[in-house]
Amino acid sequence: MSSEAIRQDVTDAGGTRWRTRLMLAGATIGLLAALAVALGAGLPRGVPRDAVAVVGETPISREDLARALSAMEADKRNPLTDADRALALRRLIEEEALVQRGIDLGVAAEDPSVRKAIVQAMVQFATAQALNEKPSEADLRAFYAERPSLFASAPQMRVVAVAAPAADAQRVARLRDAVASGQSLQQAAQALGEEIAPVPDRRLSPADLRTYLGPTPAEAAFRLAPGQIAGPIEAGSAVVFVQAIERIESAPPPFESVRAVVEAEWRRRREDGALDRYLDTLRRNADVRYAPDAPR
Amino acid sequence: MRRILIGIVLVVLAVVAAGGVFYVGAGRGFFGHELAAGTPNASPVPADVLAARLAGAPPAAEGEDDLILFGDLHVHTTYSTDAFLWSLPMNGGKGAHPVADACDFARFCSGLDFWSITDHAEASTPLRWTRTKEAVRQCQATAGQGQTPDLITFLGFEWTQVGRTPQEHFGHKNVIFETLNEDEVAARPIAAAGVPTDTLRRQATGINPVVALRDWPNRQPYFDFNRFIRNAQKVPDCDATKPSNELPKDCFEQAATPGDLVRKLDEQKLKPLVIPHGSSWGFYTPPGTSWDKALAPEDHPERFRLIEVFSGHGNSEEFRPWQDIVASPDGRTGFCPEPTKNYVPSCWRAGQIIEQRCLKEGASAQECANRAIEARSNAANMGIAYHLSVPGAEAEDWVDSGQCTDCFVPPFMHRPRTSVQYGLAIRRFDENPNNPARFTWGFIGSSDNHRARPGTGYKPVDRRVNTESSGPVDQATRELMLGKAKEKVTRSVLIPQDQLMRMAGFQMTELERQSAFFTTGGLAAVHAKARSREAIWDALNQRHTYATSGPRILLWFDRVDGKARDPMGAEVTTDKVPTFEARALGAFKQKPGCPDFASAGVDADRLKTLCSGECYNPTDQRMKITRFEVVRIRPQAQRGEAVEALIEDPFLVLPCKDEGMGCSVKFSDPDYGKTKRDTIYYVRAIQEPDGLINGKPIECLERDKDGRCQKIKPLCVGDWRSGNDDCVAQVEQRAWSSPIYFSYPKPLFGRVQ
Repeated sequence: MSSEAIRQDVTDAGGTRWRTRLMLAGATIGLLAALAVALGAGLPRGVPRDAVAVVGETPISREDLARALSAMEADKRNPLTDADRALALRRLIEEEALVQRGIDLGVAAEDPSVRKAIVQAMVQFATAQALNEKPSEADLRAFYAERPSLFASAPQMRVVAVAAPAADAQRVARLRDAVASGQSLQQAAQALGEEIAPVPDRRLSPADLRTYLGPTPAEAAFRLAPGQIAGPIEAGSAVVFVQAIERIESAPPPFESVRAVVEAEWRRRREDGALDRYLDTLRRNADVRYAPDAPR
Repeated sequence: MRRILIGIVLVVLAVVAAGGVFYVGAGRGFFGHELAAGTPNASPVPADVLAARLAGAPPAAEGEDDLILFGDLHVHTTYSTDAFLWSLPMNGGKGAHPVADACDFARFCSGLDFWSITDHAEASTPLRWTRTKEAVRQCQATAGQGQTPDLITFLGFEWTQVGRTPQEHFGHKNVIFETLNEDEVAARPIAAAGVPTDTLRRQATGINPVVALRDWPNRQPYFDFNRFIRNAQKVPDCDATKPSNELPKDCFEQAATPGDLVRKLDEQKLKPLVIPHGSSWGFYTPPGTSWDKALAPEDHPERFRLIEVFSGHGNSEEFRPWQDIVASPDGRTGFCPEPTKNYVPSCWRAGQIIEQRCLKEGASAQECANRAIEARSNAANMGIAYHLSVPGAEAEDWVDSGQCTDCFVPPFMHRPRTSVQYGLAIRRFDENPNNPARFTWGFIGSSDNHRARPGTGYKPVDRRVNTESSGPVDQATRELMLGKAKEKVTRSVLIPQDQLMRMAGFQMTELERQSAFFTTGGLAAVHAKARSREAIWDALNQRHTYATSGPRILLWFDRVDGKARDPMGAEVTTDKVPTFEARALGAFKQKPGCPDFASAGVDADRLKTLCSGECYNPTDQRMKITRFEVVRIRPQAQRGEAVEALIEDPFLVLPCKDEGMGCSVKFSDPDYGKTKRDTIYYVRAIQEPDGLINGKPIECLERDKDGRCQKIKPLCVGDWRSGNDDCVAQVEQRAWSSPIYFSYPKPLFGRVQ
């Protein structure tokens, strides 16, 4: 055996010993770690500095305790004792334990009132930022100017209507020809001996017009400008001609008189917008899978 | 061993104690909650924006034509004892129907222009009245407060008077206030003293806790009902010696007569509408009752400007000469009259049932005839509890007895002497023979619905909630509520008057047969100057109103004199021959489901629970008007004049050739100038046949040699036996104009006409 080889053997023997020691040390640390994990439940764990206790993984903050103590103090004539303080903390721990247990049992998913409360709380959370926004006068004026119809009521119409039996094609044609020749509906009816339908001679709201004419003729009437005639419109066993005599678009009130309402509406829409954005984000991030027959 | 025995005893004692606690606690409502009035569905347009919109709407110009608006001034919620009872699972109910539901139903389902809440005052408490006021104010806020809101909400209550004898009976009245302002409505609802307060409040014992045990998953509504009763009973009576305006708000106030009611309202400086309704409904009206006593000046007949002609309880319009019993002058005893062509008194039928049973038993014909006489007498002396005189009789055994078989959708046990026509024909000469007192009513219809569903008459669907038809869900529940079926005895039973007086509750009435007569309700229509609270109120006070049996028929009825017109409800003094014009357009046929405007304001689930997904949803096709019927009544010109000859119904029948565009007619009455008598005219616009729930409640299968019904088809009762059948029959739905009252000028000197 050469000296080189002997040196190599010595080096190999020293390396093997070193590896063995390392393995032993690792195994010891592993055993100690396992022991520490196994005995972990019995060992005291750290409590964050701003907490007074931890229930599971949830800390009970000193702030929460202070709030509970001040509420207790308000109900009590005498100063709080240590026993009171301990009781307050115990109540907070119990409350947290109940909440955690409720979540474990799926109460949040199954109890409609709990779900509703959670949804409400989340809606408030999502809209909290918008709540604090303060619109400028210019914002409000611009908002109002962009939406003139928001504060105006539906238009009102004064109309004349004539109805004829749908089965009497000749009568219908005569009426159609008469109005096509440029006569007003009233003139046409008079000339042909047709009766004017009993629609009140007054301004009528969409709902009122529906009462007298029915849904389809009323809808047609509301598309007319003064003087225009619609017809023949099929309305069951009759056909209806309707002429707009007057159309009153209600004027929106001056900005100053509805400023508070405009601001409330501005705020409402900001909140709605904030909520919509929040929901969009949630939907994007959620793992939602649909059944093939689910409505999409 | 001894320890085991002690243990068993302790367990038994514990179980008994727990049972006792449950029984007492459930019975006294300790486990129940007082129900809220709810919050109306928010408008898709915020209330403040809506108000700003409406403030800018252009007002109607003076002198323009009137608008026809439709409403329902009579609806109950679970704040009424009977409504709560019918909402319970044991009666097939679908749970509470709070005030907010009525608001939402009017807006989204029936699409009404106006409505009023009218819960029974007899179940009221200060808390319930406060909550009702809050809910109707919220309802108005959701529809807007400006000049043309889409729904106008009124506040009212029902004074539910029932007397045990004809002398004590005045009938139900709705009290409705013009505004919702705190100082312009009653401090508290005023209840009717006597039977209704005893039945609906004082003697109400609540639901037997055994019912809650049997129906454990649904126990809470029973507990809530018992809490509802106890909470009402806890409210102390108001001091009867103090004027109404000096009473505290937190007491229970009662009025015994219409005069008392009016006095108390006057003391609070209130001028509400007081509207009699269901006047000829024999369910609770003692046989022999008439309108006559209600003309006494102390009962203020002049304060009743309107009357409900038609409701979900039937048509109170028509007079018939027959009598249900012939009462002694003091009303305490009666004898049974013979049947007439179209009418068999129930007391008579009582005799027939007993006679048939007796013959079947094998007794002699003479003996059985004697027992029939006895049975008729007994039944005639037991008032509305006549059915208790024949133990073991089922609803069908009574066949069509007691019913007006030739009336349009009559109420159960129609009482002709409290009909609208009788009321219009009579006068009271005692105080002022030159100007005798009389009723001058305008007509309206209503639903009288007890499930918070105003204006149900638009479609014949959902009988068990759109009508009052309800009842036990099975035989066991029926026995629990009404007791086990009694033995079919062959001798009638007489319960003496004094014993009947001490009894209260629905067992006193023929509940099961009644349940086959409930139908969807009518509507009140007004010719108003504008779509506003003030204009509707003015139209109601001016009697510019008409009634319909449910559909939205458009009706005009005017007296025409040259270019001048006097509309329905007018009072005219003239010696000229009167000429009239009447015009009507049939209601729009309905399509299934709800229109877009309803779906836009409320989600589909809510529409499903609120109105079973069926709303007022018109097509463009109108129903046809087939004819007008004119009724002429000449009120009594002298004391004792026979009413039968004064009512001409119909006075005229005017056929229509409606081609889908309505019908108009003209007529005059040359007799007016000849007879020189005050005369009343009104018209009925009759529509082509259409479906109505319980439109024909009794169908006779067998008749005897005299043509009297002996056997009927099984009734469509409210309990489980009729299943899901809506029991729709084709009837000629109609509209009734308010009368035009003509006074023939009196000579300046000389005798009264």
